[in-house]
Amino acid sequence: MTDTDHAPTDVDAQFDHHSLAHAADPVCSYRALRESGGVTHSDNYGGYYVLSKYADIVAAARDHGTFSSQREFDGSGAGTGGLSIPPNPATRLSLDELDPPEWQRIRRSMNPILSPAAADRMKPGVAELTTFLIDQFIEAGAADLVLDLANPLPAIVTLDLIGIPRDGWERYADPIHKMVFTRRDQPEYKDVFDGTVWILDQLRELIALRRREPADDLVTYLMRHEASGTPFTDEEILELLFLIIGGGVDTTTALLANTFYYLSEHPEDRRRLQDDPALIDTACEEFLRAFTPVQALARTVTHDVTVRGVEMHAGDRVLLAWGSGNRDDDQFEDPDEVRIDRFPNRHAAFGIGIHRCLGSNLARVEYKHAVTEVLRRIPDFQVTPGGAHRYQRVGTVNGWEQMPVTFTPGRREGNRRTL
Amino acid sequence: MRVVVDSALCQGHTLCALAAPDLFGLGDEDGHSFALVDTVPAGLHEAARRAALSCPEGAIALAEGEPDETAR
Repeated sequence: MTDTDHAPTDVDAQFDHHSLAHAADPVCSYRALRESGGVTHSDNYGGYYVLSKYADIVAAARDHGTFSSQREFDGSGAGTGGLSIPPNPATRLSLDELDPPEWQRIRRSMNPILSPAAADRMKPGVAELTTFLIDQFIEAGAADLVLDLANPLPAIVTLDLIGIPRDGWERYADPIHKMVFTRRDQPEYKDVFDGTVWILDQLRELIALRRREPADDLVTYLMRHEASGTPFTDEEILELLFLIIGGGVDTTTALLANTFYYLSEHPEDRRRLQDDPALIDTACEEFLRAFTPVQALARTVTHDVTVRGVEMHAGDRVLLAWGSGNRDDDQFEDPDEVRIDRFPNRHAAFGIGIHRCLGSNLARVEYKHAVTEVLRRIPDFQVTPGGAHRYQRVGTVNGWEQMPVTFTPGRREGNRRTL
Repeated sequence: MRVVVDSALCQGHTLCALAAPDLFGLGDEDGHSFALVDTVPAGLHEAARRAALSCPEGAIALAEGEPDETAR
């Protein structure tokens, strides 16, 4: 079944990471790509390559000179390059869609905001919010772990970080949530696009406000901070804020949702985590690997390069399929087995190379609090059979739309009555 | 045994500090790793090996066979 010469097949040419066919079984779909040569060319979206082998993905991610993240965005929705195939028409994603040296200037300013030390300082806030969110449903004996916990927790933590009021958090979370799986040809797309535009307008207003009235918050910090001497423009700050929202909201939700689903289906591993809480950290890395919340991101080739015998040329679009690399049996033993004590676990779920996820430390903090508290406070939770729905399309984020659960009711623990 | 973090390769995944918190510190600014010791104490050799294995960027090098506290 494997060709020694990589010849494109009909199947290859039609590969579409956003398709329903791929979403029906993305693990199997990516495995087929790895087994048919590991470098696939699809005719969709104007044509793109897919790297599905861990070694190639990691090498490309490290070689940012050849595999550029740069997005040329003229504000009209057109433009070239960037992280998404097809491109996100609403905005550029700042850091994520820049190469050095511009990337460096922004990354250096942003690093301290989400460093391990910063994430540590956010722990009490995350803990209080987790307690509050669980308090809202714990007495009912029923809840939705996506809608009531996995979605609001990262969304509100992110809004707090930026300094946006908590009430109405759904208006931020909803379009971000839906943007990653709604195609342009679907009727729902207009609402998603409008919702995204609304978010950008809110952020523009906040930036304008802080120009007039500085505060002790992130926006003011960015306005004053001059990494390498050049102050950030309003447009740069806008892109950064949108990146923080886009990066922090839906992705961690997907990690938590997949974790809860897995633990509901695998009571033996749930028991192991409850009996030995020290396993929570390696389990986090394993859930990141096995479920890879951000499944794939794109690059643009800057000069001729050959990958595994396939010649690529300047301007070619390439999808780095992190989710595929994370299940490559050339890198991971029994990759389709979830082992909560797996070690080593050099997964690529937070990316590889300079664009390693800025929010990874905060993501791990949110995961640890949410999962530990769910296991402690509603230890017998069960997903309602047939009630949980994955995203219809998982080309970018491998997430869940909803996850109703039942459990033995418990008691409120926090003092907060409102968000 | 000596341990060295290649700062050009380190991207702040923090898995080394997870595997061997006594051997690796994380910078306040960027969360990148730095070795807390020049010479790895004998009791932490295994942790050092695990940390080197854990790095997705291959940024940690161990020089084994160096004099350590137990060598005479």
